[in-house]
Amino acid sequence: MKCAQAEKWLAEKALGLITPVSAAALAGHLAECPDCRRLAEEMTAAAAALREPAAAAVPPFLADRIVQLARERQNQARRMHSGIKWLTALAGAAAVAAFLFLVPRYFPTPAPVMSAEEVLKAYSDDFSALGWLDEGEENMTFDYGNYGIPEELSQYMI
Amino acid sequence: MTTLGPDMAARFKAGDLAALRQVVEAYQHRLFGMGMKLFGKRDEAADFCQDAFLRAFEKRKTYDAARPFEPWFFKVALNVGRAKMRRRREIPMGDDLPEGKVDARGEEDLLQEESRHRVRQALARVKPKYRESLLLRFDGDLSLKEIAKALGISEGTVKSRLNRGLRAFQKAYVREVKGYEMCASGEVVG
Repeated sequence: MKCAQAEKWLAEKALGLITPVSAAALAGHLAECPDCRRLAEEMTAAAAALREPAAAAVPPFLADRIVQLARERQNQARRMHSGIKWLTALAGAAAVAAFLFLVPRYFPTPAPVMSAEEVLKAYSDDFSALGWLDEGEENMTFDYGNYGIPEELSQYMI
Repeated sequence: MTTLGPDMAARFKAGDLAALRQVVEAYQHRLFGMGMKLFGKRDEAADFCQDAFLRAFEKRKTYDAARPFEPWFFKVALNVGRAKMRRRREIPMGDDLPEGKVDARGEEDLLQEESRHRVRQALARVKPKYRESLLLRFDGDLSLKEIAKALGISEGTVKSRLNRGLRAFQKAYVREVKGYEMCASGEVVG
């Protein structure tokens, strides 16, 4: 076995990932190679140093502080969400009001269109209500011909 | 090693603050250990912990409660650590062993602190992708599979990174130790 392979297996051993077959082959190589034995000691020491826990203890009240900050952020998010809801509602109401105010100004409702018969009927009703029609005239059918207006002209009149 | 049950993970995802407390209590020691190795100072490690837990709580909707909690959580924590390291590089930091405090400590504490300082210095010389794998293995206590999920790589790649990372760390650590011994014996001044 070459020392380069032994070095890989030494790292695997320190990481707890070496297979039993590789471990046996490594042990055989270490028995013969003083350089790799020294490397094995260094690798073990390096892995132990990495495993060493932190010098300082976790600050007390760290959990309290984190939970408190999370609570504050949750409340802040709720307030913001509520504010956004109100703003959305206000914006919606303003848009509806603007629509109701502006539409009649820019798109006025067209004047009602009445047919000639409807206009004449309306006049007849008005005259009747005012008492301007003689008896029996209420049911008369209006005809321009009675007034000397020929039919070819009356079609252009109401 | 404490792990989080599926019920607690689901409550955490739902935004339950009591579940957040449980998560903090379960993982704060491991995360603080990672923070100390990355940043070397107690207050920076505590800030790292705080930011990591709060970020995880903010991003809890992205956690799939049907899957193990650790890989997702440590992935979030690693991202926080990377951002913090980037910011840290932009701001020159002083020595993390101020002399005023050294005088007040006992000799044993001082030696332990120097040993941890050497670990931090050696780790800083290891490539970030190897360093992250080592921290997840040694401090996060994650399996190969969990590290693979946290980093989004294959188990084979994790194994390779751990192997190369530990060998790189061993070489850097030996140099640190030898440098320290030479300084202690007066062979090198400054």
